[in-house]
Amino acid sequence: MGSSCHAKGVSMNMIFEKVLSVIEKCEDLNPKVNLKEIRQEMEFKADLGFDSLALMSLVYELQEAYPALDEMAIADWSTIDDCVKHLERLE
Amino acid sequence: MSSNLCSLFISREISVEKSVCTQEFKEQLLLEVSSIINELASNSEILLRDKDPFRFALIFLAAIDAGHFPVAIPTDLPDFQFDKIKMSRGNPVVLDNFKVTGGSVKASVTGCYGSLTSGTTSVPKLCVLDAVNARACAKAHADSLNIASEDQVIQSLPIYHSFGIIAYIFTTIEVGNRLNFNRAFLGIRALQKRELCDCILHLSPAQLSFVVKERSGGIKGIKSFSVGGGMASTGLLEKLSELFPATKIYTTYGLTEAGPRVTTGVWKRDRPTGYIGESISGVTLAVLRNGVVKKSGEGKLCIKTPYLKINLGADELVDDYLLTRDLVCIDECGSVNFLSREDDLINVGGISVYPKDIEDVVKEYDLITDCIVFKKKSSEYEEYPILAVEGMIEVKLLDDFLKHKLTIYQVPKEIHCFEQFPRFSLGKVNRQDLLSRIKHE
Repeated sequence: MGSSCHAKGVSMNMIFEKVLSVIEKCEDLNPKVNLKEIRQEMEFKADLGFDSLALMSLVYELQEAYPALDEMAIADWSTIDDCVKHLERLE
Repeated sequence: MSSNLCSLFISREISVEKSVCTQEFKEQLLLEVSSIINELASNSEILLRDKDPFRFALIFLAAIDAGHFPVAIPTDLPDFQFDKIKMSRGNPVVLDNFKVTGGSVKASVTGCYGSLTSGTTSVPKLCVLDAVNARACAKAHADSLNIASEDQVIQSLPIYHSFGIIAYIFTTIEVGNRLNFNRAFLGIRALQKRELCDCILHLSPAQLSFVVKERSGGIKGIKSFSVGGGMASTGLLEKLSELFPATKIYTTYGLTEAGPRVTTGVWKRDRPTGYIGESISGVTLAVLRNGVVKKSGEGKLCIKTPYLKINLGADELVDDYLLTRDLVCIDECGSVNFLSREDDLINVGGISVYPKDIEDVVKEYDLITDCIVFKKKSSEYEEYPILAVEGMIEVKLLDDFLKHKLTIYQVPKEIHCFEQFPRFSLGKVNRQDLLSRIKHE
């Protein structure tokens, strides 16, 4: 059990890094805070300043790595953690 | 409880995201909604907020049917503003994502609903609108856009704003069209995954900009776009028409206080900048210039409409017209061109400069996604224009670009760059916040 929890934690961390990488590369995404300061528990709107259009841009970029990702997922994403958990389920 | 509006609404074909709702599902949801509504004290004022747009629509209509007064609250309204509204309304009942809290306030009207003004003012104001008038306004708006019963209106803008209530809820009741609810805005790339047929898509200028950037044309099944809720640049409309050459494009204008729809026009390439169409059925337009109301010419837009809000102040009317703060030009044929917000007009040493004229040129510059011209006081010129741009660019190069395209009075004396403008939920720029950031620079 311990090793599967550890593996899950590593996987979530990798997904978070992937999300950060997408945010960094996508020119339509300009977070209010520096990339290094972004934490998984941050809210897209309140902390990063992402509106629904920015989230749609994020989804489009993430779909390169997660083709099964549905655009409507953003309706349930308040925090980056929501996004990471959603992607983890897709993996 | 009369179930007129609700019954009509659920008799239409309604889909949520990719699934068409069965009649059983719709009736079950209505039962759940009715059970909540029936428990409220009679003629209650209700502050209504719901992330589920279909449920919002049903509660909204059921409340009106039952003689309550629902006030539509944006889901992204900051808590402190929501608390202010609650206090100012005497602590009415709150129906927040299907949970009942709050106190109880008897509504002073029936057959009405409340809609908050959006975007450009720091403090939202409540407009009381009549449901019968709303149905008529929805019909007039739908007719101006040629929306037919076989069409499907795709909900892409918030359902809780005055536009959403008319364009999605009341239009579906009046026209009998199919309605597709979505909890989030879908770009063209996302819509391409659906089988679309005779779809109508209403876009804000920010959404238009997004759609154009996607460069995903060739999608079949979109009958028309309408663009409103702010001025869309000619450049963006041109790009949209290139991507969708067979799809009609409309530009529209409205004001929550006016019901809210006012004008619609078919956009074509030869339209002048700022074209917002002609008045919809039932609406008469005029301009106020030098204290006199005139049928045409330049001046402050005046609106005579049967869809007007009920809670009018005497200072809001002139000669029975609702006086707006929008400067327009109405030609002899009744076509309306938006020039500027009154507050935005810049007096540069006696020369009137319209911010829009400057903004249109600025938007031709690469890497700029949006821009706003403000005015600044000057002892020398009285006022002069300053520019905020969204996009990190070389200011000197932009300045050189503008000097070749604008008159000396129009060239902004300051240029401020931002990675991103602060915005409200419809994508409208929070001008006050932006101006405050400029002042602090």
